[in-house]
Amino acid sequence: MTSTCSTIQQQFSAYLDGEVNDRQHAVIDAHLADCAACRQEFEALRRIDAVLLVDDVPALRPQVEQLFAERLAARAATRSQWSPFFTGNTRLAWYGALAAVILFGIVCLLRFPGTHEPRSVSINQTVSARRGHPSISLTGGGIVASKPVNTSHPADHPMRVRIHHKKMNYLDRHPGAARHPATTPAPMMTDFTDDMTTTITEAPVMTLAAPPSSPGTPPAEPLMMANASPDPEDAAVAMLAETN
Amino acid sequence: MSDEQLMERIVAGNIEALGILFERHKQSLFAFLCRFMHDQTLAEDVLAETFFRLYDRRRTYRQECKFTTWLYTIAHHLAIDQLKSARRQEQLMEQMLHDTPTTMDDQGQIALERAEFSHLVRSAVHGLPVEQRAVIILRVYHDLSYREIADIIGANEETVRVRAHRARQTLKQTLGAVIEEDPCGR
Repeated sequence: MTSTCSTIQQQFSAYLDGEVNDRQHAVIDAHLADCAACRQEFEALRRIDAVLLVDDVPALRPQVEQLFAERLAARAATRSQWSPFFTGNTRLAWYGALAAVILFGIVCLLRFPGTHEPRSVSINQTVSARRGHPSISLTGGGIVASKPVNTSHPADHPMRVRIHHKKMNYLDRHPGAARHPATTPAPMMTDFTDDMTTTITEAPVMTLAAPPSSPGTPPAEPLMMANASPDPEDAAVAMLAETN
Repeated sequence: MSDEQLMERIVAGNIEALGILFERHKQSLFAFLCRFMHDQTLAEDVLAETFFRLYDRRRTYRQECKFTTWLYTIAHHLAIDQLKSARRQEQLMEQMLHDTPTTMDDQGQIALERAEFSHLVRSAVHGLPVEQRAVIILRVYHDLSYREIADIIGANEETVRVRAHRARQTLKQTLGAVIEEDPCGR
């Protein structure tokens, strides 16, 4: 068998299946006319197809068709039960509504992460009850401004600080008490609770040491405390301010 | 109503249209599965499963695709899944060896009843490798083009061409003696 015969014989199956173009068809026809060996091979393959077609397949059993019909009816019944909710465009509408709810929830979480609280100092204070020598240990953070500044009013100086204090029993009872601990003996601090997460609700204006200013900038005006009075508690607050 | 129009109804949720398609294609698809799987019971199971799988995946059906191509693709995949059982293949091999007449090699000529002849042919087809078997069945028995066969089995046309050629070569060796003496005189 020549290489030409090998090449031609590889096309026999496609030739039998009608999957060769006109040019290839003509070439194969011409070769078959001249090559007895290829003609014999071609005939053998052609008979294979004829033999294959002898195969008779049994008919589908009626029980199979019956089972299929029953299963189909069961699926149809299941579908009709849920069809008002899950058919065609209604399903798309449900998906769209669900997506809108989820998106709304995400937007709410981003927009409103939590309740607004005044930016106040949370100061844990421990007050020593040693007679005459109140002391305060500070564990909280710094003092920050908690409201917008309105410089037109002297009470709204930029350096005004609002310290929220939950209990000011002593100050309430002694509003005119002295504020300098050196000149005023300190009474017993018995009114403070032990757990001093305090929030000062009244806002006395405090005198704070001005922060170091950068070159070229005017120094900040010191705060002036209104209603200054020598008082041990005031002294504690003043110490707090100086520390920060 | 065409198959594609019925598929549009099925996609829209009309499950009754599936019954119409089943009636149209049941025998043809069953014949393919019988020859491919060489087991009537398995072929019946896969036949029903093919249509319900078609219904479950109705939304993946593309309108430009021929319905029979899609149907046979699903059936082909399901049949291969069923045949992957190694024990099943061993049983079929034993059955094929049992079916082959021992006198063929000695005499080269045998006279068989038509039913036995048919059974022998089917056994020979089933003895082909899976990838060649699907090609020769779809081509010879269902008259599908190489393009359609390629879409069903997930290959290209050249691969289908090669597999068809190799399948016929294998069958020529398996059924060679039978071809020499065909009881039908072909």
